[in-house]
Amino acid sequence: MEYLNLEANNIGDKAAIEIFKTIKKNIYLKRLNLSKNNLTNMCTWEMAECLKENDTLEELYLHYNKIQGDGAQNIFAALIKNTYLKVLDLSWNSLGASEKGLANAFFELFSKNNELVHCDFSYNNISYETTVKAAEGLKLNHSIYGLHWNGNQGYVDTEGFLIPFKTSLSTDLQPKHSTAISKRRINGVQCLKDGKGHDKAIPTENCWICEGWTENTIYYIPGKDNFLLIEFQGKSGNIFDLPLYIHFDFEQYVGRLLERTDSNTFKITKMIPPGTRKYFFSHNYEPVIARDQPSAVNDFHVIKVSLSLFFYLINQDVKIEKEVFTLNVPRMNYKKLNSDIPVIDKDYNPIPTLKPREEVDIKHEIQEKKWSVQNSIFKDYKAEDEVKRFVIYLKY
Amino acid sequence: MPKVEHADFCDNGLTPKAAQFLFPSLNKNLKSLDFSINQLGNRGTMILKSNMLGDKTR
Repeated sequence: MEYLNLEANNIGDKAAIEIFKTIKKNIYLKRLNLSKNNLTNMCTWEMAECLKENDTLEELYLHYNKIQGDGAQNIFAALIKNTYLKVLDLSWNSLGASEKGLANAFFELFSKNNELVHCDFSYNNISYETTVKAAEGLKLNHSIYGLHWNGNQGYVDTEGFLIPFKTSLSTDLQPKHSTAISKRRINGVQCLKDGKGHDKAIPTENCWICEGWTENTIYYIPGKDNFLLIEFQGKSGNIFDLPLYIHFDFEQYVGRLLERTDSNTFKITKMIPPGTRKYFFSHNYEPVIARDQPSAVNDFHVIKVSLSLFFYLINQDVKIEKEVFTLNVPRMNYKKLNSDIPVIDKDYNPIPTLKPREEVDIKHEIQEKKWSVQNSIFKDYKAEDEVKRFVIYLKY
Repeated sequence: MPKVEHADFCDNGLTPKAAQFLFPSLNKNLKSLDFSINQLGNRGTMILKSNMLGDKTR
């Protein structure tokens, strides 16, 4: 038997221990679902022993049980040695209870296990401190393509980084809708569709797997502007220099720097969620539209954007400055994407070339700081409009 | 009983007594068994274990 689903059977620890003892040497079982079975820390020792020895089990679902931090540590320690398990669902347990040592266990799991591709730890009341340590470990991990952390003191960003936050605080980058309780449950490495069979329009948890994100490269091809629009055919516009940023709607318009290619065009390769995704470019604090890509009127016009800027200091250290400002964006480009291509194939091999949590090449982004109104002390200055000026002119 | 590869007994209120008759009758080539939302409990799970998981080749 390859798949055994015993969800919601009130099995309890005693029977679960017997199951784990039996499947320790089973060479066929690939998926085991023991969700909603009143399992506690008691059965985790035998579960860990099973995970250490078993070399066929690929998916383990333990959703909505009563496993606490101590029990999770047993499981994580075993998973460092296990090289077969790909999917783990520990959502809606109580890992946040008895957290002593859990932070280090998460760090070890994320930094040493290279097999897991999809994990759900949502709604476990995991603290800020544990999330901070888990986030450090996750930075070293490039194999988990889908991580769920809702209902804990942190969230997963669009590149797969875990961002800790205290519930009393909120950040601009946190998806606004991520505070809503998600009732979705992971299902192997499959993309989850909504009830009507359509892709979700807005990503809620930034899980590349469940939400069917796809790898995309967006280009900006510079072309000369001779006041004849025809010159722009096949060209994006008249920006020839870096820095050229791209701002996506699903990232709350955080600026991402494009890189220059050998053929003197600019490009960025990113994982993008399905649906109609809006974006625009910016150069020296001015919004830019790629003319060779579809665009539409932006109803909201004023958009709050943020940029991370990297500068060399005199002693060659790198300083990172974050700038937040507003831009008037009358039109935006858009791209329609669907989720036909899975992120992970049936053999658990990743399909995109882009890996989660890849380090940004800081050298590529380092730049000289140029003066502009937006980064000067005049950034909040509001210019008088033409009508006011005319009235003043008439008065005097 | 015909050779079944995928058996789905989801949400049928099946108790350990039902399990006692059901599991021995399932064929050895069963690839997947969905027994979710039933009432196996401790006793029913033991029956399942000895009938469906006992032999490591199954």
